[in-house]
Amino acid sequence: MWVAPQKRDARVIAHYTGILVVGVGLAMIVPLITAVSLGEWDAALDYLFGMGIACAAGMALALVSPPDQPLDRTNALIVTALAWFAASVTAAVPLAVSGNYASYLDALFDAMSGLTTSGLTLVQDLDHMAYSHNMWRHFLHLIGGQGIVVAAVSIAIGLRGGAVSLYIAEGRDEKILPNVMHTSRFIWFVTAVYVTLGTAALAGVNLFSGMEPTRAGLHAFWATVACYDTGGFGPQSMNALYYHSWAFEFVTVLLMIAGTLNFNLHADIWRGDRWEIFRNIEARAWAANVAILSAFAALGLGSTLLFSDTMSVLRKGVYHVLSANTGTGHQTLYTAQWVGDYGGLAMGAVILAMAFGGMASSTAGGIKSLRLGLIVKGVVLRVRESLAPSSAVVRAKFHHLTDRELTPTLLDSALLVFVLYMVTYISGALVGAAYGYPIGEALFESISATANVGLSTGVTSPAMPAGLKILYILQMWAGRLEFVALLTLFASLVISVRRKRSQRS
Amino acid sequence: MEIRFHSPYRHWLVGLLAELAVFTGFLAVIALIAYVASLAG
Amino acid sequence: MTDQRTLPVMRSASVLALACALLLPGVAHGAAARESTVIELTTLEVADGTQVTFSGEVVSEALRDGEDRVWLNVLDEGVAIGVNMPAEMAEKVSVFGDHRNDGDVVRVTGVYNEACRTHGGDMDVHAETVDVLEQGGERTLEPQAWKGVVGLLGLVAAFIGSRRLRRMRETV
Repeated sequence: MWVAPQKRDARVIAHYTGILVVGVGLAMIVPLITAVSLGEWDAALDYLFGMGIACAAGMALALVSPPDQPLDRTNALIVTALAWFAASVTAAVPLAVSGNYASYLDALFDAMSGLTTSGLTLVQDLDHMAYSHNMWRHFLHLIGGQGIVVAAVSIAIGLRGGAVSLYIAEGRDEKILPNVMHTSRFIWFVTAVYVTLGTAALAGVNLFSGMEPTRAGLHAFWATVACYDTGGFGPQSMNALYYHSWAFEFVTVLLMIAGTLNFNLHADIWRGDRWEIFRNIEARAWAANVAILSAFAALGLGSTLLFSDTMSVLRKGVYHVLSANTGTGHQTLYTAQWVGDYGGLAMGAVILAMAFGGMASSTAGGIKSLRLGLIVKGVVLRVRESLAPSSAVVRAKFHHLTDRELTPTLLDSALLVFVLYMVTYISGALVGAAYGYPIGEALFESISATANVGLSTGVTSPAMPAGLKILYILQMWAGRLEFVALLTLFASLVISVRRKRSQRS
Repeated sequence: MEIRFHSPYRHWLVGLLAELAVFTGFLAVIALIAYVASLAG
Repeated sequence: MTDQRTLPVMRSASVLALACALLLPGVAHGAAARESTVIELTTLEVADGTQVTFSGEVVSEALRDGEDRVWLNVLDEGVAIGVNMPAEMAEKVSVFGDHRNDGDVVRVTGVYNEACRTHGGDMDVHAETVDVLEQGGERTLEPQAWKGVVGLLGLVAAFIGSRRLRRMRETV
């Protein structure tokens, strides 16, 4: 049944969105403090400006409806979908006035890319950007990655029904732990531990490379956040290539893997069940996926002239497969090298790694290995069914935290999301091709946006057509939400417009 | 040294080290696979 | 997916690279008169292993590479490339580009490696000579007061709004 939304629904939605916008405005205190403590007065004013606009606009929205109205499931879905857009629109304000973006649209692109932990960027003159602006860009990875919604849940007292349904809408619908507060506290705990460790390790690497202490620390924190939240922004135009360091690449790859690990799995292991990682269908499917694609990438690179030595195979092949698969998107190649030097087979492996993606309940994007694992099990089940005598009942089991049975419902939802991702990947590529980009590059970029990866063959640039920028913003948004919440938002918009029309006629 | 987090995660440090060990081991295996594959390429 | 289109490109690139490797070492020194740009280097318009000359602004810092070599990052038209050189060669550079400063503009002559074997396949240039063309200096950064004014007005409005929201909560 299609239920038409009422005016009251719109007000409640506006209220919650407003609160979120105020929250994003308040988060700008972090870059503001950075700017003030480093004496970047021009950038400090950008954040004062951003905070003022965000808090005023958010408060105006929040006043539309009285507080503490409950959210039903549909409205929770709509708030979630809108949250990413509203947060991006807000977060883009200080970037847009920074002087490093050609237009507000470009700043919005980066804000959406940051919050969805994608990593595609339209920034200009990055090497001269203020530290505080880089702090904001990377901080967006952190707040977006750990979930705007989870953040809202963990900070707000929010255990009134509404917050719980917000959490469910975010595409992280597995029950991690008995309650939301507990869950979000655990997520922040794991994050704090990994971010502290990663920052310390990378700061060591950077100091050894001769960076001065402040820069070493800031770069270490940014790279840690960008990898652990599988984001992919970097503070230099050369991205990860800037550091020219295998040690840097090694530490960041460990962080990427930690970032793509399912939070349920982290929770299980940290509770003392260390063998779960070997038995878990998702971890197994992920490991097999990465192993096979790394082998293909290595096979491909082995036949190129430039990257056939062992070090290149590891640092250009395996590194990029992991960066792609975990949805991070750190890159140590120039964009033209994908097509020019990397070879078709290896590039194909990286494209598939992006498309498949990491694990569910993490910041990784893409189809995700749990779904791939279930689909493979499903195929095997069908074959076994057709081989078995007609009276036999054939069942398939899998282990994901507990032993479970593969039900048609589970398989259906895995296949549905798989299909939606595929359709989006391909349609995005076709639009890119229609704009005149070669189809290979258009496909690469479309998948990179939808799976929230951030690797680029150079299509994404400030000079690209505005239509394509908007398309990639939509793809990053849709991919992050795994479609359903966004489709709900559009459906409810269409229904309310139709209802208005029928009322008039 | 024992750091106490609230009860279910007493073993978080062991868990963390186990994770890092598994990740490193996995990277070593992948590197070996890639090395062999690149020889065939 | 990309095979059909990239393979011919790759093949011709490899033939070209091979030709360069075999024929150019002798010729390269004589042919270095024309300057390249960083964009030409990073979009593969220059043959691998040839001697190139280009100029740009040194940004960020000199990063150590082993005991006595460093990396300088040279930026031109929004694209930067790593230039590897002996540490003493980099001492000429005094200002590095960042938010506060424009870095020294240097002219680099060196060997261009599309995928450097000694540096894990990174694209780089191994410098033979580095000359400072132009000394860097402070950039003009003008804090724009209107942003602060608008921001403060917004915060005041939000504060008033929040008190109103609290009153609404009390009356509900």
